[in-house]
Amino acid sequence: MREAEPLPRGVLDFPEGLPGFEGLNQFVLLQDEELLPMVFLTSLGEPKICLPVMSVRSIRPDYQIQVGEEDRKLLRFASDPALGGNALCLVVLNLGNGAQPATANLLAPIIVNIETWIAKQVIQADSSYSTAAEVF
Amino acid sequence: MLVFRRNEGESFTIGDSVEVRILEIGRNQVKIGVNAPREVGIYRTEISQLNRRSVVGDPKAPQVRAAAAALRKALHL
Repeated sequence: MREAEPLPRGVLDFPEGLPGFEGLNQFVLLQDEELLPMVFLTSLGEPKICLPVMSVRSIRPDYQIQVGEEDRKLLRFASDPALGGNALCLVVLNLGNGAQPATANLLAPIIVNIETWIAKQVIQADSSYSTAAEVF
Repeated sequence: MLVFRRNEGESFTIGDSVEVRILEIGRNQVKIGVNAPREVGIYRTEISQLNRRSVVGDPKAPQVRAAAAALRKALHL
């Protein structure tokens, strides 16, 4: 396992935390080449808190992100967030238990400013995206 | 669980620093505003639960590798 390719500094800072994991603000993206494009958002303090994620562009190339004014400030976007440009959008995967299919949370993607490495899970409240979209 | 009633426009506080205001009462939904310090996480409960359910203790576990293989196959990688 090593840090993901597009992470020169490695540590993602979640100033508002990640829902469900109070007090954990710093995560890294670990990757294993054999498992790409699935990568693992892993807490720096508690490595057992490890969530499979992937870039939304791998599964929904036409995915649109909405980032409100307050979140733009929090993430310190100097210009409009654009996927493939200054923003990375990761979806959290739920791998299920074998009986159920794996799903992706498209309603609440993690948006990363790749210039500041500040991140937040941003609910796409005005969209019709599902919290459990089947991906494979 | 503490249960009480509030009208549209009224608020209540949790501790000294978190204020919750009922902004609008619709037919099936209420619109709520929360004022809280940045260090207080305000999350939709279902998103927290979903995130917790997604946790894999070990990315090298066989079921994780199997899921990744299925994903790669589905994406023709």
